[in-house]
Amino acid sequence: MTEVIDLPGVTEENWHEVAWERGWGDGLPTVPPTPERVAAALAALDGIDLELGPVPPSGLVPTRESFAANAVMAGCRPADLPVVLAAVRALLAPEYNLHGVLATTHPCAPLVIVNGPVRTSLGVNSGTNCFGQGTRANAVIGRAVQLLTTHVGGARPGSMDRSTQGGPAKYTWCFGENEEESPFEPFSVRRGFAPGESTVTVAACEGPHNINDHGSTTGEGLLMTIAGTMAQTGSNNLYVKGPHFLVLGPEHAATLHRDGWTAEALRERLWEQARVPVAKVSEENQRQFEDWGVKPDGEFYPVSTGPDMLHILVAGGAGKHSAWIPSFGATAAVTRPVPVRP
Amino acid sequence: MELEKRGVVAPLLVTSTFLPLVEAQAKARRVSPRVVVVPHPVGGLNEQELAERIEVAAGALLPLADEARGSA
Repeated sequence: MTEVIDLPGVTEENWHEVAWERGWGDGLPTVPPTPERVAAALAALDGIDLELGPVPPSGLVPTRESFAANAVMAGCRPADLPVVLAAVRALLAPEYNLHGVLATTHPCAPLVIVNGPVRTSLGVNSGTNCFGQGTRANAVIGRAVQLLTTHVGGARPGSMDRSTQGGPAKYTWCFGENEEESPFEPFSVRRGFAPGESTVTVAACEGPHNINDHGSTTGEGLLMTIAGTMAQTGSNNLYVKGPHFLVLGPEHAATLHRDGWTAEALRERLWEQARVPVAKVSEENQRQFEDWGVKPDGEFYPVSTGPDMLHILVAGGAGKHSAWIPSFGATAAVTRPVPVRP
Repeated sequence: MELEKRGVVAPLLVTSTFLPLVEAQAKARRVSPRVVVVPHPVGGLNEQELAERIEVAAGALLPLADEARGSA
């Protein structure tokens, strides 16, 4: 179990230096987790089961206080904590593979996708610049998840976190689905949750890869660009396989929907269309793929293992951009409901 | 705006979504462009949808030209 640490002489002014010397934080200033702030954060979870399992790689079990302290350090408001809790519960699902995710050389980060009414109540950005800076909820929820795995899980960069280059998504990687402008059912509903239920989906992912198509005026045209972006020789999804995400901007989604494409049909089509020609993969890498048990399908390598591995949702604002989000591969998309106080 | 300075009526075509951006940019540059606003988006439309946008824009052009001539 983690313990309560008393730091005499620490003030709001010298907190950042003290924290940094102890190896706490992500480089940016954190909010001092005073007993008062931690208590206020925990009050938002009154009546909610806060028992969490051990967090790899350290195997430490977060206490209620250490969970809340990390959220406070990230800048969370008490109301953000149920979403952070849902995300951490999802990260601890065995299929997410937190140990592998935290120790890999791949630059993956915990992607947190929020669905349902909690987006509105917390102000989670699902529209313009939703992957970027400028929204408190997106910034602090993603950051809290990252800080918890760093502090409790022990995945500090350079020691347990062995990412070759890392990535900016490791600071925070959280957005909401733009359900209001999506022509499809909400992502969470397609994953079996009730309409109107708030959920969090996590997966160990890279940052977004932009899909710019200002020219295509048809679904077919857009699909050619999308498939071309997804068919990358350097992606983990090519041989480690696993989940990957297509986040359609609302305008691309509208064009596809107008031309009769459903989310399910898009998955099937992109499974067939987004393929890497064998000739584009070096012979050495082809042997590496074979060592992993991956063989081409005819003259092409498909992305992942099947259409079900591609998760499609809608986010963003005006403009002709979408995004492909590849993953670590050896991970899963895990969805958990946001707990509600009784 | 350079054309307008030279006496050529040169309205700016803008979609409704980006009108606030145009207004903010215009204010920052201390200019007052004539704008024709059409529904967003323009890209990604098929021929029929684009024709609807053109109709809206064309309908706004004549009043702007009249205004520029001072006969509105």
